Amino acid sequence: MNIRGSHTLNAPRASVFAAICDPDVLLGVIPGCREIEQTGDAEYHGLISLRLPGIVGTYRTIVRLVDAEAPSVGKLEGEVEGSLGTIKGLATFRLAESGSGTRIDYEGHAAIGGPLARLDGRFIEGLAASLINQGLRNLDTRLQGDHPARVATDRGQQTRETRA
Amino acid sequence: MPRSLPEALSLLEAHSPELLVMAGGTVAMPLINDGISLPEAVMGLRFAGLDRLERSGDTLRIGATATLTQLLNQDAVPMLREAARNTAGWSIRNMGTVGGNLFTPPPGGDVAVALLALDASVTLASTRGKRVLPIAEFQTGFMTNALAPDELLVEISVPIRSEPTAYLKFGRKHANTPAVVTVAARIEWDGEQVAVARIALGAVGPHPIRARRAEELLVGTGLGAGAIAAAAAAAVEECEPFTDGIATEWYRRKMVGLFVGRALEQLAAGAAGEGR
Amino acid sequence: MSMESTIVRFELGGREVEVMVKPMTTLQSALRDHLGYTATKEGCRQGGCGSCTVLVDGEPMMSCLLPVEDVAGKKVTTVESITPTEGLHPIQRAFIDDYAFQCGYCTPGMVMISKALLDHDPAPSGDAIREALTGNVCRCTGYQPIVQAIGNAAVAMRGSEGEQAR
Repeated sequence: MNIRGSHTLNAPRASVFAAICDPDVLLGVIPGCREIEQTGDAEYHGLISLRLPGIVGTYRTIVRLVDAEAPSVGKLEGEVEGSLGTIKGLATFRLAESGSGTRIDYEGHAAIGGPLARLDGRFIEGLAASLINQGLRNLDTRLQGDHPARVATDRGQQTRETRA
Repeated sequence: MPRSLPEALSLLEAHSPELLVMAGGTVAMPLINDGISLPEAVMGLRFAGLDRLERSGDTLRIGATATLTQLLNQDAVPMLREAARNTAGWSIRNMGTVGGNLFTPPPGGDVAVALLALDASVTLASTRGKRVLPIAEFQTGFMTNALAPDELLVEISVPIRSEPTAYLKFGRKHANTPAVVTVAARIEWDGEQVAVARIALGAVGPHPIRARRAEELLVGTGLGAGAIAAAAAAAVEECEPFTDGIATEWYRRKMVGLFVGRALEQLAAGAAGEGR
Repeated sequence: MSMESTIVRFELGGREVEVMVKPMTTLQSALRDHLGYTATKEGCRQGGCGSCTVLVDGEPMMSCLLPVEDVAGKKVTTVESITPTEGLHPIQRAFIDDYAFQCGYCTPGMVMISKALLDHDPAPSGDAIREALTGNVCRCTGYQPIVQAIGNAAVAMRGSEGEQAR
């Protein structure tokens, strides 16, 4: 599975870089993520709860920062596993200044194992892209220091951030 | 298996987010049977009393768990009868629900396309109360929707109008087939001019979408050949088709142009929509 | 909801039956694995092939998508239910006479959907027959013999006075 995309955040590049390279922050902005715990140097464990039509499950997730070149390039390794299968992936992101904000370009690939592998790859890619987009919007809000309720009015999309 | 809405809502509140909600089973059971979805708890809504379908003044009120067969048997809204007829086969229609058609995997259900063109509204309920949303705001993205984790979809309301509508589903088989493209369209006239246009497209996006630029181009026109061609071209531009086992992106885009044109021509000729 | 087994009672072929099953056991599994009623087949477990078709209170449904708890107290009809103790049901007779099966895997589903159709419409047109069959897939016959058999069964069932069409 391959995904790529870009997003513009209303925050200076340095703070975006610091946020993304902090797996604690990263897990905190992924929708449905809770119980985040540091388990190593730049490594965090968390739980992601998905509630989708017909698919309900809780996934254990690990995020590790494996490479970083402040303030523009970084590499993250991630693993998601649960009863539905496993996803192991590697993503590279690049940050560039864009006016007073920051443009992030990301690219990643992942291997899917277990029952999830039976699904059309398009579903997993679409779902991952959807979670990443929502996560980046959450990050934008968080970096601006706005109240999370603002995000809920963004095109009528509901966002829940829960931290145990 | 709750026997009432309040019971269902308190179960949902108590067990969310681990609770899988199921009505007809036509979306959830294949995923469970295949071992992809392994819920710890399941709530079946079949006996929760949400399946009434009734005419209330000039609104058709459809309970979320009313079956597609019930939709096929009503005559208040012909476009919905046509949409139900074009969805699945007899057995699945006896089980699958109208509400459930809003939760089918991308690109979404074919009854949902009709509901979008008809400007339906959805009622969402939780232990905190009820709220109503226009259906265009319900499906928000790839497998995402406006439901809060403690909410259930309980009713879909459809305005009953008298003007003709057009519903065309193009699939690789004549029946019981996923869509290459689905088009649902209706026009409200002001004398000889188009006052309101609705064109909903299925299978060319993460969920059914409105071809809004195409709609705008039709307003104020007489729905002549030129206006139809312009609208069809706009729909081709604004849709987001994808390639899968049913059809390629290229082909879907071409078929949007063809079938939007056909649907609008049908409306221009004043006939109610039928067939493919 | 725990994963403990529950008892589900329903009517099958005129008798009340009882199964003890884990939650979310399908009617298909209850019929085949718990009750030994193997006429209902397991094809796709997705609701796409129709080989699992049974009638619930006279309406055709895909037993592979039905948790058996959903049919508690209801009347379930399978091929076993409509086969008389001697001889054959007119639909079964017609399927044999018109060569409406080869491998036979779709046949129980086809017979049940035919029964549902003829109960609803004793004199269906060819189009109505084809419309009714859209949820049932056959790889062997090309469907035409099945459509013919159903038409002939309809005639036989309308014509017979003394025979009880069940």
